[in-house]
Amino acid sequence: MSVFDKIKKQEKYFYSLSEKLVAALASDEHLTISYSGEETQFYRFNQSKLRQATNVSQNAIGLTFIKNNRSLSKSMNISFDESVDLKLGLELIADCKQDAENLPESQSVVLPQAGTDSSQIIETEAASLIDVTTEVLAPLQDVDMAGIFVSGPVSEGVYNSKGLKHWFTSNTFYFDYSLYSAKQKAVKNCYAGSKWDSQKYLANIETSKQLLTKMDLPVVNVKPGAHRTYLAPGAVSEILGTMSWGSLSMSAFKQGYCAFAKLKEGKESLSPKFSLQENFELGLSPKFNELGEVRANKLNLIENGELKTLLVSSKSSAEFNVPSNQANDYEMLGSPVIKPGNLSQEDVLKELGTGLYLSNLHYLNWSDRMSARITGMTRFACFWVEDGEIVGPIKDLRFDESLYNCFGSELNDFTKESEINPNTMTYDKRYIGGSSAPGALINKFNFTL
Amino acid sequence: MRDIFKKLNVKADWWGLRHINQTQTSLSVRDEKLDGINTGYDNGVMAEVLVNGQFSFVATNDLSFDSIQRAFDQATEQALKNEKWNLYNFSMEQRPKAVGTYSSQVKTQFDKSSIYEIADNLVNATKFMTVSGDAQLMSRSARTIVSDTETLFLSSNGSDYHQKLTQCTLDLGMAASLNGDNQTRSNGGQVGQFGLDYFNKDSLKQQSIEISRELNEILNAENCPSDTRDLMITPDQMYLQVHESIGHPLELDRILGDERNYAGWSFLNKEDFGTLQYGSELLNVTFDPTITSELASYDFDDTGAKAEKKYLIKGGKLVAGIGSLESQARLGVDGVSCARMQSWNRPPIDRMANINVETGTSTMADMISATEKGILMKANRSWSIDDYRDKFQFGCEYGQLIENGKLTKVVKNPNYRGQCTPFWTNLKMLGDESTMEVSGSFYCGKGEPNQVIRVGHAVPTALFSNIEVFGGGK
Repeated sequence: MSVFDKIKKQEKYFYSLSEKLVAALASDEHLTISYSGEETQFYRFNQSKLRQATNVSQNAIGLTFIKNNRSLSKSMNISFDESVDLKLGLELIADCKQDAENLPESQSVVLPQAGTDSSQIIETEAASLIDVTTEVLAPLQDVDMAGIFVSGPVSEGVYNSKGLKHWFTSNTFYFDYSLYSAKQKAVKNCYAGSKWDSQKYLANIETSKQLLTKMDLPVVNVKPGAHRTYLAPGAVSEILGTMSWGSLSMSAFKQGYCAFAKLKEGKESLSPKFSLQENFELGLSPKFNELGEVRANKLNLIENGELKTLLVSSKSSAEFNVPSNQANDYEMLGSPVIKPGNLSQEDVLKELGTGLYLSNLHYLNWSDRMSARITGMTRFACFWVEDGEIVGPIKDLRFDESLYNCFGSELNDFTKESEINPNTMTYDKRYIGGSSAPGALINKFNFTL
Repeated sequence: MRDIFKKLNVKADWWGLRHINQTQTSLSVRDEKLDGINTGYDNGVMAEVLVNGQFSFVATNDLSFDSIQRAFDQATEQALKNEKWNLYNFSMEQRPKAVGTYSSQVKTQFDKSSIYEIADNLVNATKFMTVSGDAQLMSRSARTIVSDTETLFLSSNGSDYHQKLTQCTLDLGMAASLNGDNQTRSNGGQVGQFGLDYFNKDSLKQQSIEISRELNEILNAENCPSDTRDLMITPDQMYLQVHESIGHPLELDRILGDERNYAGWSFLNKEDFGTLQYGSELLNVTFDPTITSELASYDFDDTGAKAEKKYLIKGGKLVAGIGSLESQARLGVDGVSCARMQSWNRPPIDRMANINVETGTSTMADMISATEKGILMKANRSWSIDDYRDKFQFGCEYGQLIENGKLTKVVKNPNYRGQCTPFWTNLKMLGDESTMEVSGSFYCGKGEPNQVIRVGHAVPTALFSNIEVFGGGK
């Protein structure tokens, strides 16, 4: 049986199991059931050798039960053996009924809705046909590499007590890696896709090896202070990732934790060159959320520096009486895209003139959330540039800067070209999705240590 | 599971089966109502083999015999297929025999209805979160995680180790606004191996009243000054200072480069062990699995290595690393029993467990009276450190100036920054037992594939000299 035949059987099984669980509900009870599953091969590398090989097969369902203005959730693993799964599932439904009698009232509840079903199984061969370790490692025996190769199908599904069904499967791979020079300077790159292409892979690592030679130039010790700075797309994506934590959430705004509160209140502004949207046409993640609600293809969040809307889940909508835009429960960015600008990638060094070229940033965190101020470190291939020429790699610097400055008054321009950054997070399970960001030229960026 | 293990047919030099069954309830209350509750049942196995010097892992949540046999077959095949790329030639020395049981020693055990009592007490706690004057209350929240994790480890060399950990969090927090400025205050986030008694209604009420009082103070306070002065930090900030600038740099797998592509490496080298003066002579840091209420107290790590108290830094000098038997063999540096896996679906890697700072001899009053120009900072709200674990920056919720030996003005948005060894060298006074608290983190992230782990830090209040501090604003 092919991997996709197996997944199609799993989809049918999920709906069948869900129907039997829904049959255990009373007329005033409601249920939404989510599914997540993966068959993932992990190869962890160090010194261009294999450190750990791990294969993970995991499948789980989540139950969101509503009764008597109480909303509560349970989750459990499933093994596709109905005698095991249905028994445990029915026990959890019984627990839900009891909990709903004994827990305090919920802030808000979102009842399941009927809708249009969807099923999308993207049948790609990913990296299943290659000898991964040999293919990946053989061309890297002349360099010190650390990283991880991840491949295999990931599925998500939803079923609710109104009979709504959604399913999404993608089968992708990525090789997220960094190369190290003898002086322990590094460059970072990622080769990702849905079909392994040896030529593209070799070109990807050759680009990294070429960049690594520049890391052997003498290190420049740049003093802290305000510097003209180019943030490559990887660095902009890091900032975008931090923005996802509470800066655009309606719930965070209402609770006093929203980093863009002053932007929403019109007390601060961003550059007219800054536009951000949710764009599910990237095709990296399903359009449905954990409740089975289908999101718009595109949603403008910030347009020409003005906040158009925050992310609003149906839960927030019910609680705060504002329209939902079907954001996920945590109101985090799902498929964000920053609009490109007019700066040509080829002209970046010339336009930068003298300043810092930063490929990546590291360990970002809000240092003053109410001022939208972020601190973090430079990492990997970061250079000092003079008169449009790379002088040498820098000793790592700490920055501490407000988004109202770097994407506001000090934003010079974004590049015309954008890069897609796949989500490589694997806490608990493999995450899917990604973001798209251009590079950014900043007139003054504040470094502190 | 023992019966299944006996029937397995495994063609490997060594094999082990780890069955982990976790029940975890996350409960969130906000503004006197239920904001969310989820109980997760996570149950699976990790099949591990050692073949020709390579450990290989296959995880599944299908607990049938056929599935587990297939997992071992696949793990063996995976090891053989990739044999030529093996990084290091491991042996059974890295998987010692572990036999025994360990169970969290909590005062009052949880049962199925405990969560109802906790929910009521958390709702009650939010009722006592208040602000005064013109301040506008934005949110009042109380959250907990109650987690039971049962682990059975069986191996071909006779390991049979059963462990049951009860680990909890308790977070109270509130936000309010005054004159267009939002401020937050929390109880600093409490974690540990504790039972139902910890969610005492009166204690929660008292904590709510205390954070309300301090939130009112910072709402009306000036911004923290920007200058260099002495810094006193309480355990709800000190734990993270230890975590980031001692715990992580001492991890041997970072020094070996395993983490370079993700969490980063370390400013330390192999040669620093036994020679580097990491901090002042007041600084004594231990790996200590013996404090029963601390998050990461256990008898054996996830490779079967026996957990015992050990000095990592003694009299300020670096003496041992946070490295498993695997890392110790690879690097040739002394370590501890710290190979830990997040759950059944991730392989063990070097992790902190309980990393503690031994108490000094000073009271809070001693430290305050010895400070001419300083600042007290409480409760972490922001953290960041570089990939070598050297240059850090922290922000706290609450600050109070110390002037001429006395606590004076409260300030908001207090932050500080520094570098590891200069900072720890500037450790001037260390609090006694009365200032010590058992703390830690429920979410320490690391590894590829990513893993979070629960880490304990029992630490006293500490005073540092000449630290760069600064406030908030654009």
